[in-house]
This record gives sequence, C-alpha cells and structure tokens, in this order.
Amino acid sequence: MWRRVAFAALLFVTLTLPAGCWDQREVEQLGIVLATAVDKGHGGQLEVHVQVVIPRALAGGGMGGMGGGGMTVRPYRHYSATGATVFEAMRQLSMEAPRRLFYAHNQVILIDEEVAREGLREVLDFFDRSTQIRRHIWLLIAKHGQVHEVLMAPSPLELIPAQRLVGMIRERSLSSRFAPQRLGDFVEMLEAEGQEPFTALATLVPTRVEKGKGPGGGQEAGGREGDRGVSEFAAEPRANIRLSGAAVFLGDRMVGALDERETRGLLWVRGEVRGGSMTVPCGEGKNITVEILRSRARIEPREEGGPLGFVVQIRTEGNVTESHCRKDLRQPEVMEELAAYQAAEIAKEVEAALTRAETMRADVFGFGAALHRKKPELWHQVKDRWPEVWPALAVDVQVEARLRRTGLTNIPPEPK
Amino acid sequence: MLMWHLLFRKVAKPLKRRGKVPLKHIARQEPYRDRELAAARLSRDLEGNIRALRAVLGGCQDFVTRSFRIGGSWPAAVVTIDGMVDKAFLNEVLLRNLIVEWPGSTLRPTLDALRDRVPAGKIQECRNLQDLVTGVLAGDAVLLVDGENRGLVVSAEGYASRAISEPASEAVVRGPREGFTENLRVNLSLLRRRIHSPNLIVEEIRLGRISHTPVAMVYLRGVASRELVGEVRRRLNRIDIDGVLESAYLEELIEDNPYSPFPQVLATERPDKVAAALLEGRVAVLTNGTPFALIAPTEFVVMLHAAEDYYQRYLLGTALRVMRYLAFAASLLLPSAYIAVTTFHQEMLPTRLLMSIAAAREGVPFPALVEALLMEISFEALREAGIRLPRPVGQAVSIVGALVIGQAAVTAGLVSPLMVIVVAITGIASFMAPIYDLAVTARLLRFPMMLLAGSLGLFGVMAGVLAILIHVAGLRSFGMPYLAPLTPVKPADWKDVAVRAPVWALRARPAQLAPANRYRVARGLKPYPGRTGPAGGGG
Repeated sequence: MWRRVAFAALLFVTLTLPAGCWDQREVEQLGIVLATAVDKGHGGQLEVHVQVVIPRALAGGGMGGMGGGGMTVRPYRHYSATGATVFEAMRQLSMEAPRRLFYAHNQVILIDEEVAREGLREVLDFFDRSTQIRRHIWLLIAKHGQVHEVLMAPSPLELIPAQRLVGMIRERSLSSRFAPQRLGDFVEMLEAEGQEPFTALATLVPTRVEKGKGPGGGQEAGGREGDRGVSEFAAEPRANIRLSGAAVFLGDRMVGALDERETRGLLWVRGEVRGGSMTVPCGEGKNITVEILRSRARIEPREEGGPLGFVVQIRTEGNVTESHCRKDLRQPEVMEELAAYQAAEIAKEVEAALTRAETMRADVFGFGAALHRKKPELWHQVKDRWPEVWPALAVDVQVEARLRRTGLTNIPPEPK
Repeated sequence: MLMWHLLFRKVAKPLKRRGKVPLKHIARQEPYRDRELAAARLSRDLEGNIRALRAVLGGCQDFVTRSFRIGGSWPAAVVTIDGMVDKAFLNEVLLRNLIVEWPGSTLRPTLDALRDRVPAGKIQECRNLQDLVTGVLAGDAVLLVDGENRGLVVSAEGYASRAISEPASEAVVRGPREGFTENLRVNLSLLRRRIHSPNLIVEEIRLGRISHTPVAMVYLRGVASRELVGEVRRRLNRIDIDGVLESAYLEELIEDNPYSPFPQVLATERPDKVAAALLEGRVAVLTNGTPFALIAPTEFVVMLHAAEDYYQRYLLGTALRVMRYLAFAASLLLPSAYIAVTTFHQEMLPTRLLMSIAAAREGVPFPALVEALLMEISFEALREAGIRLPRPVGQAVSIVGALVIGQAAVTAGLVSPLMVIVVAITGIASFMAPIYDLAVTARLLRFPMMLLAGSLGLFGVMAGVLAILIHVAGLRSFGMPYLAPLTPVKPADWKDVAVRAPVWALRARPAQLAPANRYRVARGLKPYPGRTGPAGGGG
C-alpha cells in the first residue's frame, strides 16, 4: 500500500510539475496592455503603440499624485515599435519593455485613419487570430496622425486613457452620436454579405485653455466656477478626446465618415439607439428636448409588385426632459403632436444618413443582409452589383415615436 | 521537566523523609488474564476470598477491603476502589444498614436475605473472581459474606465526573444547551429524556481487552432497519483492541474506507442531534469516557447540517445551509482558485481587479503558490497553537498571530494584502462547518489542491475536484452511498439537502435509512388558519 502511495506521489510530481509550470506567469511579471494602436510607420511599415499599466502607480499613486502640486506619476507607459506585420512589431516591443506584454486585458484597438483607408484586412488578421486578444474589445479609428495623441491625452478622471475611451463608449447611449463596434462584430460585418462595417472615430478637440480662454476668463451666463478650480490644480490638458460619428468602410477600406447627426440616423435604422437627447421644435419657434429611452427597427424589402425598395420601421419611446414652450403637457393631444414632431425629426436624421452613405456606396445599414434573409434568390441576382444597386433604391422610413413621461412638472414655471 | 530541574534545583528543598512509606514490592509480575480470573470460583471461606482478591488487586493501592460483622456477629466484607464509589452511600446506607440497623437475628444471613436488606437499586450476584474484579473496578461495591460462595455486586458508583454543560464544539443560539459528558450512564439518560419509548434500544458491550470500556449501541426498534443494526453490531463485535479511550478508536475500526480523508461516521456531542438521527433510522454508538457519540450511517450532506437548522425558521435554516455549502467549497478551493487565476489565467479576472492584484503583488518576492502555502501553513500553525495553549496564552497567540504577524508580513512586503484576505476568508469559511471532522477534511485537502493549482492552474484544480468527487461518489457509510440523496438521485429527499423544508413538509424519512417506516409527519399538517386539525373539521 505505502509503496503504491509513494509511487503515486512520485508520479504526481513528475507529471504535473513539468507539464504545468512552463506556462506559469506571475501577475507582477506581466505588462498589462490596455490599449493598442496601429499607426503608419515609415517605409510602408506598421507602427504599433501599446499602453501598459503601471499597477503600483495606479494603486498607491492615484490620489496622492494629484494632490502633490502637479507632480503626477503617470500610471501608464507607452512603447512603440515598427514592423512589417502587427505581430512582428509587437515582438519588437519586447526589446524595450521589461515585462512580458499581456494582451488579454487590451480594451481598445485604435487604428489610424490612413491605415484604415488602405484596408484593414491584413491588420485585423492578427487581432482576430490572437488567442490573447478578445473579440469583445472596441475597435476605433483615429483621425490621421492623431493615434498617438489620442492614446497619450492625459485623463485626470480616468487615470488611464484606454479606460477613458472605454468609459466614453460605455456611456455611448447617453448621446447615441457615435457608433463604436467591437472587434468581433466589426470582423463579422466585414465578412458579412450586404453589410458594410463601420465604427466610431476618435478625434482630439482643443480644450478652452487651447482656445485662448485663460482660466476663469470666459464670462458666460451663470459663470463656471468648476473650470477655474480644475485649472488651478494642474496644467489643463490642451485637448480632449472626443468620440464622434462613424467611419464608414466599403469592404475593408475606409471610404468616409458620417457626422454625428448622420451616425444617429444610422443607429436608428439599426435599432441601436438606446438613449440620447433630441431637440424637437414644438411650434412657437421654441424647442422641447426629449430623452430617448429605447428604440426598435425593422428593415423589410418592399412588398411584391413595384420596384425593389425597402421599408424601415422605427419605433421609439422617450421622455420629455426639457420644455421651452408653454404647451400643456398634461394634454394627450399635445404629447401626440410633439411625438409626431419628433418622428419627423428622426426621419430627417435617417434621410441624412442614407444620403451620405449612398454617396459612399457603403451599405452600413444592412439593407443587403435584410434582402438576403427575406428574398435570397433576388439577393443572389444583385449581390455582385450591390454597391451600385442599393443607393438607387427607394427607402420608405416610417417612424412611430411615443412620449411617455414629462418629469416632475407638467407645465414650465410661469413668471407672474 | 529537565529544564525545570536545572533551573530550580537549588531553590527546591528536598521533601522531608519522615514517615516515608517505601513502595511495596508486587509479588506477581505477569498479568492476570480474564480466563484465569473467570476460572477462579469464590469459596465459602471469606478470608480465603479476600486473600484471593488481594492477590489480584494487591497491586492497586486504592483497593479497599472493609471487614465487619453483620449485625455485630456474622463476618463479612465490602470491597471497593477508593474514589470510585459513592462514600455517602457506602457509609451511611450500606454499612449502617448491615452493621447498626441489622435486626438481631441468630440465623446466619443468607445471600438472599442480604439481597432483601441491601438498599441499592442494582444488585448482581457473582460467583467468580472475574465478575467480582470487574464490578469493583467499575465502581461497584462487592459484598462478601462468610459461608457463601457468591458475592453481591452492589451498584454504588459515585466517582466525580463533569457536569452536563454546553457542548463546546457545537454551540447553538436556539436549542438545547445540554451536551454529552464523559459518563455513559448520563449520556444514555440524556437520550432517554428525549425519546420516551420502549423501542429505544440500548445494546451494551464492553470493548477493550484491558480497558473494558462500556460501549452502547442505540437505535430505535421499528425505525432503524434490521440489516443496518446487524451491520453495526457485527462491526462492533469484531473489535479486539486493548483499550478504547475515545470514540475515534471505534470510528477507525468500523468505517468503510479506512484511507479516505472524509469522515464516514458523524461524531457529535449533542444529544438532540443523536436523537434526531435515531428518529431518522440511524444507529448511534456511545462510548464511556468521551462526550462524542458516533452516528452511522452518515451522508456527506448531513455533515453540513447543523442542529440549529431545524430549530430556526426554515427560511433562515435554508439560507444558512446554502451559505455553509458555499463556505465548504471556499474553504477547500479558495486559495487554489486564487493561485490558479493569478498565475495562469490572468485573462479571467476583471481588468481592474487584475490591476489591483498586480499592484498588491508588486514587490512580493514569492510566487503566488509559495506565498499561499506560507500563509496557509502559518495560519494552521496559529490555529493549532491557539487550541493547544492554555486559554489565556492562546488568546495572546491568536492576537499576535492575526494582527501583528499578518500586518507585519504585508508591511514587510513578504505577502500581498490580497493573500491575507484570501487566507482569512478561507479560515472563516472553514470555521463554518458544523462538524469539526469535515472542516478538517477541507483543511487537509486544501494543500494538495493548492499544489495542483500552482502547477496546472485551473485545469489542475478541476482535476483535483474531479478526483475528490470520484472518491466521494464511491464512498459508503455502513453500506449507504455517501453522496445520497444527490447520487444516487433521490429527489424526494432533496427537501433536506441545501433546502431545509418546513417540518410539515419533511414527511418522509430519508429513503435509504428507514424503508419500512417511511413517514414521520402526518399528512396535511401545514398550518391553515381557521382550520383546527388535519381532518379539516366537520363544518
């Protein structure tokens, strides 16, 4: 018995230790990458930037560093390298980075607009193939030449720029004015028939410091004490990152962009508007603002008979959050009227998106996919010519908007 | 001892030699065997009997022979062991009755006449030296009369024993506070007080070739299955050991798988728990000299049930049980899961958690496995020291250990604060097991699991869990599957696994225990306002 136990123990040790320990890696030996960016390098090569967290600075430093009179320890570090392929560049990084770079927690991939315009197929191959990179991370396009700056933009609220980007994306439905895609979804759209990919654009916008207005300088209605407070602590960053609009692709090449209004038009058609505000004229030359709660959309190829076309049915619900006009919101007819105004406004947004996308011939809405699902035989006839065919097709946008609640007051305060 | 001697030899004064009694030389060196004693019949000669008894018990300084004359005329003797008998009974009742208050009869008192006169609850006759010696050693007083070749074993045991007190290892907030003591008689009475039934059967056997420890097998006739009772009896009868000092001796001799780390017999000091087990059809084994009774058979899930589950409202009982199951898993797996995830599967952690862990581990010189082993071993050492040390010192140790060492180790950068948290949670979780033996199992298995986690990651942990599951699924307790009612699947019994159903819903006894007597609760007892009885009234 004991001989058998001893043998089993020996077997256990000799089998498990060599079998297991080879890929053991302690947490503190990892360089945790939170963001990766692909930029154009010189000589047709790719330049890869990675943003690595410095956990120590993040854990202890956060508060202390801020209070220390501008003496902030940046809790992240950038490494850059160039190579003919993404992976080659990434392995070049190991000559500079002291730790083994770990991409499983990478949250954002940022790609330079120029790289995107030349085609993403080669670039995305690595990210799609890698076992460490996840498919649910965000893929963003940065305006040409701004990749590095977007990645570097200091971010006092979220200590790490990558997390700042993710934070903005997480709250995307507060505006619904940019359309980020996850890596996996983007690749699926890339491969799908009748659906062109798109994703959000990241740009730098100058802050007020940059615009020449010194701390507390701008005299605006109400006065902004908050800004002054921030400026006194540390140098106000010169630029903010802004996610806006959508980069539109035809195949794997970026062909243009939708602006913020058009982007929401796109999201309406896709039924992906989960929030955001809409300012709607309410007559009297004034506006009310509606907070969108939810929306659903259906794309149907038009009924038999006439020429091929599409019907887009959009249903949405919202709350009134601000009213500048004196209408009595307690009246159902008033609410219905306002909802009709909102529906018209939504239809306009959708039309704008359609018009812009048609000029780029990129079917980001997925009309082709809808046709494929409903009338496959028809789709197979047109699919090869689809970018030329679809811009000419008529799209009937039917919007049904509903307004639910009006907040705590029914009628605006009335000065007497 | 040596240390003490070296330190204090100059201070300590030698004992005064006045009146020193030299140790007596004991004539016989070879031990008396039971057979030899059984063969030695008593004679009609009192002096001869006493001489024979002296020869046997002469080595015992606490052996007392009190010779006297019954009613002042007939020679007799009472033989006892000092300290084992109730002195008040011996002097005030027995001797007084026989010496002072004996009616002046001229006839020689026969044994039968004596039996009528001796005011004791339990009297047995004995004819040979073995019965006599056994009686005396068990604390009885043996009455020998000249002219009789028999003696009377008068029950007079009255040795000091611990009072009934709250069981230290299984305290409750609500529920009886009585715990078993070291005295088998008291313990049996604690059971009798709970179950007033002629069907509460107590079978007694003396185990231990030398110790002759009374052991009682208790069961409910008509509830416990006959095969089970027979099996327990057979296993107890098999035992041939020199001494039984604790029920653990029996446990190791009667369990099904002697190599398993899992307890297959439940040891408890709560009489209410034993009573509940008897009512379910289990068999209890009580051992003299220990407050721990054994309950057989025992399933795994029962080990995670506390007596209090049934005394509190069932919702709370259920919630506590769920927590206890989780705690058992945590006490077994938490450190290994932590090791596996931090050394192999960093991608599994939420990003921010990973960053906190990375920050905390920054500067820790050991791999997570070594760190965890270090902390777990020192925690176990602290726990053990806290138990063994005298109570006041023990508290100091646990304070020093927990606060000072833990804090200092973190400050010194030897271990990460997160590891301290993991170890602390594991420790607390292991204290949640209501049965100490099962907590020990988890404590023990934790270490191989940690090694597996450190070498193979979660794959290793899963392999370990599978190995444990396979082992446990194959275990049996007195022939009953250990994982019942989970596997073999007995959905009817799931009312009393993680969920503790209300009493009125727990109608059936566990299926594998009492097949012949299934129902313990009448139908329709669910309280229903406005109706008084299960029949629903005659309105």
